[in-house]
Amino acid sequence: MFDLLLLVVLLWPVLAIVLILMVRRWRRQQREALEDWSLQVDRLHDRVARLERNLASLTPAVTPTVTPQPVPEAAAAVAVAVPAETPAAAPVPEPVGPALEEQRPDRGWRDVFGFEPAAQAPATTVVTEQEPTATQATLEEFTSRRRELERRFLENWTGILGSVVVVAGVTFVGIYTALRLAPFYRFLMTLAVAAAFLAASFVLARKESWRAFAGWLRSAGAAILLFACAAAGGLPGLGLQWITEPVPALLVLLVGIGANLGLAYAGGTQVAATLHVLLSLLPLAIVPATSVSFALASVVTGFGVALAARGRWDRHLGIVLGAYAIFQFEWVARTGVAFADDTLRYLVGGCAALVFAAAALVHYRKDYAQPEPPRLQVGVHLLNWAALAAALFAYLPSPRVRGAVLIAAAVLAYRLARRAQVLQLQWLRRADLLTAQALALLALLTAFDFEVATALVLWLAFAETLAFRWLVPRGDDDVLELVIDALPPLAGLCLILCGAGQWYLAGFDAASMVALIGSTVLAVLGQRLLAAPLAAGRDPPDDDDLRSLATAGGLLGVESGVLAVAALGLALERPWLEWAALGIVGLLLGVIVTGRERVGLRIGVAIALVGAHCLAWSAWLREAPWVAWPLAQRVLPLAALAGFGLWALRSGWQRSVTLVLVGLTAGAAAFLFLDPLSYLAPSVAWLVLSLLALEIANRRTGPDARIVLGLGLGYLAAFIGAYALVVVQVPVYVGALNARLLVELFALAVFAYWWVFRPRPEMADFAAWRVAHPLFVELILVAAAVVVVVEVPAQWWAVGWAVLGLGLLSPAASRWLDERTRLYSLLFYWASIVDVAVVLSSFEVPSLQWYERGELLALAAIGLQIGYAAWSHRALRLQGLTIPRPVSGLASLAERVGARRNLYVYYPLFAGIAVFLYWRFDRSVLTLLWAAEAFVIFGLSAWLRENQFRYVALGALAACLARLVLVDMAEANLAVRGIVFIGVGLLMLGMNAIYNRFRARFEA
Amino acid sequence: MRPALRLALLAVLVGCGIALVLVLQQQRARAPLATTWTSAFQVLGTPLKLADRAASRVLPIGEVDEAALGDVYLASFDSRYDGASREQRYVDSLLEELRPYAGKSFDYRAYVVDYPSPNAMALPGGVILVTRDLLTTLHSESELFAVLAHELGHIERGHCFDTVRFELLTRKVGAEPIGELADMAAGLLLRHSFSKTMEHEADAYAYELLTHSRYDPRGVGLSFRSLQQYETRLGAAQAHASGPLRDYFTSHPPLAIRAAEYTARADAWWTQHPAERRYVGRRNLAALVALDRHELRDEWTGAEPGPGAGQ
Repeated sequence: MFDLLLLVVLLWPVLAIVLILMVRRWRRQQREALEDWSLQVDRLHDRVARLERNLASLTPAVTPTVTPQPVPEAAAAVAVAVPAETPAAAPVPEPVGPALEEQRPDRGWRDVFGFEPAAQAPATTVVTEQEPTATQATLEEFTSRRRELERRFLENWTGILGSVVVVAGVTFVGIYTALRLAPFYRFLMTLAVAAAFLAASFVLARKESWRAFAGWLRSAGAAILLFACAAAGGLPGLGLQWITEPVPALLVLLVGIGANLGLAYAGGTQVAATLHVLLSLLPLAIVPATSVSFALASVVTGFGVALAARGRWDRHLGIVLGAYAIFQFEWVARTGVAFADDTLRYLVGGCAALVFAAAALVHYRKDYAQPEPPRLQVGVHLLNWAALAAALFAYLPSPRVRGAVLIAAAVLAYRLARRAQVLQLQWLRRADLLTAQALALLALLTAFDFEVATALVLWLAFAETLAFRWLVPRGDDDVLELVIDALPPLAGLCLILCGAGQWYLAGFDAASMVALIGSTVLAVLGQRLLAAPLAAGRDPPDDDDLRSLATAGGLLGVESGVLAVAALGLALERPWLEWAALGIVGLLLGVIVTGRERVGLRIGVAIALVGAHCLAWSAWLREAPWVAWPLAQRVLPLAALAGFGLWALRSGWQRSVTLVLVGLTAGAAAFLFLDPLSYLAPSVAWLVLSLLALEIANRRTGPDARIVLGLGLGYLAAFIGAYALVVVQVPVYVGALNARLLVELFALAVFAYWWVFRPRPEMADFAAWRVAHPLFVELILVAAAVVVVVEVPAQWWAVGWAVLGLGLLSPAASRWLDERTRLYSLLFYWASIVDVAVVLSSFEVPSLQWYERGELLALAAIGLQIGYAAWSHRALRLQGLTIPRPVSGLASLAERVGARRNLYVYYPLFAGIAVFLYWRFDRSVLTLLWAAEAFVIFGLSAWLRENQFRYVALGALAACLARLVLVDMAEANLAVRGIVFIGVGLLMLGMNAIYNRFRARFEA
Repeated sequence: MRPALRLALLAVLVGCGIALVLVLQQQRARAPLATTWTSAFQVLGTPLKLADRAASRVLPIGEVDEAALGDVYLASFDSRYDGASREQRYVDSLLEELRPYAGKSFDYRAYVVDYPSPNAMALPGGVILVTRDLLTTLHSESELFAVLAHELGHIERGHCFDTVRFELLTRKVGAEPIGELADMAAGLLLRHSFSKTMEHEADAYAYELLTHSRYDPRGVGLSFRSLQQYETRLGAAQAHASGPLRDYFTSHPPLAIRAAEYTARADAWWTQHPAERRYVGRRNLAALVALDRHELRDEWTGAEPGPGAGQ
């Protein structure tokens, strides 16, 4: 593949030629075919004309009597079909274009038979006439363009190219003659050629038609002259050097340059001037790079700049200045170590400054006054200033001098801008003001040479941009205003990035911090300066107004806060961080209190407050554990700052943010003060804070109340998180007292308080309250379950769940908590049943005391479960419960249980007991135990008047009898078998007695 | 609720909170770990483990089957039983001390095995394995007794066989030869640990047993501390990097938490039983002579830890 590509690349000229030849051949063939067709068409026309004539001579009387008729469909069909057959009858060439294609089939026949209506004839005629008209227009346009190109080429490029070709040719001749003549004679020969060109140009210039050509001949002659002069002094390798001393060589070169500059002036055109100035610079870029060559180049360029004053020669000016800049690059590169010489650098710097300063003055003329100057004009002006700035910055070795000169240049540019304003050169004013700004900023960069901290330099730049904004009166130049307004926020952004970088990379730095604090102050002042026009004549802009916020003033206001945070970030590890925060952020708050134009500042203050608090919290947490007094010394200033913030920010979301910060600080302080005392204490403090927040929220109004309520809920969430991550780890005993249990009970009490709390109507309508408050019942119950799991030994859980179930079934629970506690009681009841069946059925307690055995606890739990089941028969009313949306799935459970209560309440109990008996006791007595269970169920059926239980009991009894016969008879030993039989028999007798005693109940 | 009543209730609650903080600050307790999800997962895992157990009970394999499985293990380990070994005889003596507390009717046997770390394992049917390194890692007989009690707790509370049953249930296998079942169970229990909830139950069992025994209840917490020190010496005691995922998948609760919990419980027990005297047996362990063989007077301790109580 690569080879193929290579082949194509190498042979592309051949391929191109072949392709061109093929295309040309194809086009020739097409043309011949077209000519052939045209010939045949002409013949056909002749034949048709003959036929017409014949027809006219044969039927002279018919034509007027024939009424034009519409062509019948059949005839039309024939008319359409016939042309297809026509070539067979008489060879008719294929139609060339669409117009012919439409016309030819009908026209011949209609013309022949005279059916064509007279009115329709012109239609075809018009079409045939339009075609050549469009073609003619296209041809004329093409011709016009070609002529214009020819004219331009002849007027300009032929001259330039011709000169270049001639110079190249003379060069070749010179090289050739170098083999034959001595250098001096070669020089003379070259001069002779130049003279011949010049002479020819003078002769031809007399005729008007040859004048332009004569001009180019003259330029070519001058170029050859310059070439010869330069080569005479020592262009290596050309064999024209006959002067070995530098001074004469320079003088000869000056002659060449002078001649060219003279022609540049005498040419009178921009092109000629540019060409000769560039030609003059060229040998100077070749000769040895010395201060003289640089000075000469500067003189040449200066002359070129002066030529630009003859008209609005901006292209010439731009090219000359660009060439001069390139010359300097080349010159510096060739100078090498010599460029380290201060004198030389001052010299070249001075030369460059003079040239560029001169160029800067070119545009200060009345004829440049126009509202919308060409881009080239503005570009050249800016390029000139940029080149000046770069030259000064690069050449001047001393930072002091460089800074001073750049500042002087900035002042000069500023003064020139004032001058431009006087001259009503609006674009020039804009360009020079921006230049002045750029030069001033460039001057500030010299501060790096004095090893000034970056932040300090940026601060100076920030101050300078603000000063510039203050200096430049506002006008109607939108572009200028936009740039000048944008610079201070941009400088502020740089400072922020610098502060962040310093913070991340190096940590504390006094100079940087001072700079950032100073920047904060500057940002505030700048905000005043830039926001003032916004406030003029109308209400002060608000931060809610995004358009105001997006202005420079608004941005500076925001940046003031970020700068403050950046400054504080540097002091993160310092013990006075909070005091610094109080000072800096307090200053911003003070501005807000006293100021009117606050756009952006309130956001900045909010950012500063958040940042200061986050930094402080971060520092506190990293240095934990704390001793009370040192911690207090750090908490107090932050608390004071937050308090000041609350006082200063009377409204708005910034106040809400401050309120949140206050709440979070309180929570953090509670943790830091109390954690060293006991790791359980902060969680207790958060619970207390949640109570206080609830009370405060109920007493406040509006957003404050909403925020404080959220804080209260947040404290509860903090407690829950702390409990899960820390508190639950291990119990803490104060003596024999389980303090963790006390914390848990306290939490339950707090949750209960939140639940029973009845807020005023406004607070009750808060979304947070409406969502969270109904779920406090669930929270309390989950917390209670967790307390049981965490604090109660596992063997007691079944009892605990049963007690909780009974408690929740009670009317007191329905009254104090909610009616849906009845549904939750069922869940605890089920948990107790499962625990007994699954856990306690195989749970061993390592105690030698009988009363600590697991069986007894299981029996106690079963007793409670039976009690629950019996009580639920009357108390478990599940209709009409209000279930909160997050747990709304429980509603369907309530409906199911309400509809089939026995299935969900009693049968789990019966099954659980049966399973427990199966796993817990020896299989030999299992029949007896299950029979006893059946007996209990039977008694329950009488008590509750539930006949289905009786059937269940009788069924279970039947199963027991079957097991008695089939299993126990075979496996159990004789004594056990006897006891089982006796027991089962007694139970059956008991059931019989119960049935007879309560027959009425059963039958009812 | 009337405002006055509400404020009174609020004042009471705030007062209670402040009082609670004052009570708590007396102890100046530090959390064993800055934060950990382990305990939370342990609590949250309780209902899940209950469901596991309930599901495993679907298989009608009972205590008799577990005993049969234990017989297989006994037959296997008996071939390697070294009755002449001092370590084995020492462990046998301690097992005799434990046996009365067992509720299940297994033939409990403990075997000292060579394994390159201090550890102990429980197998269904009453088989306990103790590594030789464990005897040199722990510092007192009460600690070793606590470790054995912990393994006994796994068996007594059915963790071993529940795990096997659940595995059988998930594998949907039917009646397998007892030998295959034993292999599967041993592989399962030696490779995988019990869950955090089971470990917590076994810890609680061990602590409860020690409170009823002649040994110092501090032994439970101190045994965990000894193991923690071993890990520290080994360089494996990385600072417990807490994270929800890591804490969820770890099988054992962190040793720091276990040590702190049972030390605190034991201290509370001693507060409630100031007149009690309990045995530590530091020198007994060093000499590999159990309490019932050789009682040392100064190994008895009271509410204030004696010379043999700690390290």
